[in-house]
Amino acid sequence: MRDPLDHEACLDLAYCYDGTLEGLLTAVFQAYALHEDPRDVLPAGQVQPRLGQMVREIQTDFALAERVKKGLHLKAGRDAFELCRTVGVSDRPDAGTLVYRFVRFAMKTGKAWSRQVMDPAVEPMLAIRRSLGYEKERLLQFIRFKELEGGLWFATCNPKANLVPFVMDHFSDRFNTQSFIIYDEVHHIAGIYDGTEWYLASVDQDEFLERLPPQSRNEARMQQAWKLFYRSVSIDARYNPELRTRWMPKRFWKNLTEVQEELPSLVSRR
Amino acid sequence: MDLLEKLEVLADAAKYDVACTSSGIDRKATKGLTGSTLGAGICHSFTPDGRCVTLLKVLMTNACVFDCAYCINRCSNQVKRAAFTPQELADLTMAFYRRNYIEGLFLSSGVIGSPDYTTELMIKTLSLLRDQHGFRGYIHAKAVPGTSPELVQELGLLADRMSVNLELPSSDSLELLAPQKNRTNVLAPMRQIRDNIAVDRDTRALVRKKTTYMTPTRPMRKDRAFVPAGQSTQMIIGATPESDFQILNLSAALYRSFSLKRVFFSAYLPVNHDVRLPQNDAIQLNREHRLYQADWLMRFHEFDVAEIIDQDHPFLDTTVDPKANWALNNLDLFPIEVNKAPYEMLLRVPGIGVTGAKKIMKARKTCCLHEDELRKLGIAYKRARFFITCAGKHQGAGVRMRPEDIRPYLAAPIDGGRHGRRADKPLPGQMSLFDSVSSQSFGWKKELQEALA
Repeated sequence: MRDPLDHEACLDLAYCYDGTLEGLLTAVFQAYALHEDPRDVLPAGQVQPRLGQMVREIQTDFALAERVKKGLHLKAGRDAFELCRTVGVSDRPDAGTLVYRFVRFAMKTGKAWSRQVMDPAVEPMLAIRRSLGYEKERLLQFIRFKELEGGLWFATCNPKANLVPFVMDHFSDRFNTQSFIIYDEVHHIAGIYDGTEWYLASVDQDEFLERLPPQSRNEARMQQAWKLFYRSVSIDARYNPELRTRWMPKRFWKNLTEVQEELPSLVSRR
Repeated sequence: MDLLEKLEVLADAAKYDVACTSSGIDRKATKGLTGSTLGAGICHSFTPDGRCVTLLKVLMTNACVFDCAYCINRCSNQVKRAAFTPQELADLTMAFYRRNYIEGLFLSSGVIGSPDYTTELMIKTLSLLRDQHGFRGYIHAKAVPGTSPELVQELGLLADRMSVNLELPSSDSLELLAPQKNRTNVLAPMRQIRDNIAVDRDTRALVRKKTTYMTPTRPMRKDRAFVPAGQSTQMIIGATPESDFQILNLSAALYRSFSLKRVFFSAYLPVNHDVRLPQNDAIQLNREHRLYQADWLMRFHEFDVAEIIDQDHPFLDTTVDPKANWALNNLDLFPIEVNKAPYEMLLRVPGIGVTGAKKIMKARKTCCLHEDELRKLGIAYKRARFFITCAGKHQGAGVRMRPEDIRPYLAAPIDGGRHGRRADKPLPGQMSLFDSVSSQSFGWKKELQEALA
């Protein structure tokens, strides 16, 4: 079958996938299948074609994505796939392109890719993984649950990448005696633990928040206790707010019980 | 008294304890029980002074029969006193833990009645948490000096980490400022804890190789864990005249002989008016910071204490960090070739830490490292460049290999921020107009010591 895009014009090509990992892996598969080498692999909504660049829409196909996963496992090892999986959730617009380049490199080099830490195909991947690791750590630190009526615990977070799936294991192990929901207000993903296992749901914000039960009777008092504790343990003579914001960046504050009152925007709204 | 009011009093009273870590032990979750611990610990919040909050750090009670000069809770002070009941505190800990506010409980106490009675209250609290609530999170408990060994044993079976505060860097100072404490009743529980540290099937203590330059003792395997995350201690810096030389040698000896996980330093902060204490010196935040840097060198960079400090220069340099200081004093060993030098030598370069050195070892197998590569690896290139060559070329930007030439580049930056140790301003209310503070006298009057001794 002849390619609908003219080959001569396709030297500069961008792939557009739906933003999911499966979509990204399908895009990788298509690049091999069509013998093309796209310059950019971008999630839908981030596509800004370069001058004279053609854009190919990629239809997500789970079977093809699975084949790429298997191929990576066989040729480059489990770590290679895990790296792609992690970097794939990054919000960076170039994440897709980097993953594509990396897969090309890893399929060619085989398991030895992991020693090429300074290679331009590998180094940015590792850098992104590192920064996602920090972001994940911050989720573990700064998630704050509220108790709702009926014994449900609820937390809102605003991470820089779609990392809720990566922290659900931690929270569902630790809090396996309580059912809870962690809602990511940036990516509109809710991680839901029902007391036995966790799953993810893509939700519509307004409708979702409306349907939550009200806070439990004890909740306001416990929040007050926590704020009181937070204020009491600080030593005034060591006051160093710059140090605090370095450890606890302000972008997290709106969801942090103990400091949200210090945010000027929230105060003026009240 | 209302619970919230108690919390305010008892958290406020506990804030001068610096140790707040939830590290050193891995314990996976179990179905039906709340909680788990992570080897690296998790900091859940940071107070306006930039210190982390990882545990609910409170006192059981701030009523105390001891009269330690430096302590806000001493019996001769007129402060509001309060006490938690074990049930209240256990419930509060669970309520905070379930909201992901904390990693667990840090329980210390003033001495109410007797050390034994106090410890019994703490044991009651911890067993409520562990047995009634099925709590598997982190618990740090203080051993009160003078507690009987049986009770220390019982407390240790419930806690993950324990600490006995050394309080001051020498036993003379301790006896001067804390008349009810002495070398024996502080060291006895420390020794007991060291000899009994054990892990069970459930816990995995982090016995990393070379965390200190002396090999730590491995915990025993027992049916029931005993202080699996090890023990720590803390001492106040700057209230008494001990030099950094003494302090660092003491902490090295503690790491060696008691296999401590951490020795914490706490810059002295006047909270009481007491003739035995300095009243108007600035808080020595910078000194505290340098001591921690030296401590890190001993624990992670395989420095011996003798390399960091010697008797002739008993105080750490305040302008450059101890590692840079060592490098400047040993310039004949540098520059080293990053692409060839052994790991131990890479670790000696200011600007290259443990992570950086390991990354260099890995990266240089497949490519030759230059400035770009080193920066990408996260090396503090600006500091490291004077001490390294890349493929034979010295990176020192023309600066001559002489200590006096390199030192200005490594000294503290001119703009150190508006707060904290580098702000270069005395903290409010701490400096008197009339006393000039030299870096080596800590407002301590020698005659006074002699008179009181």
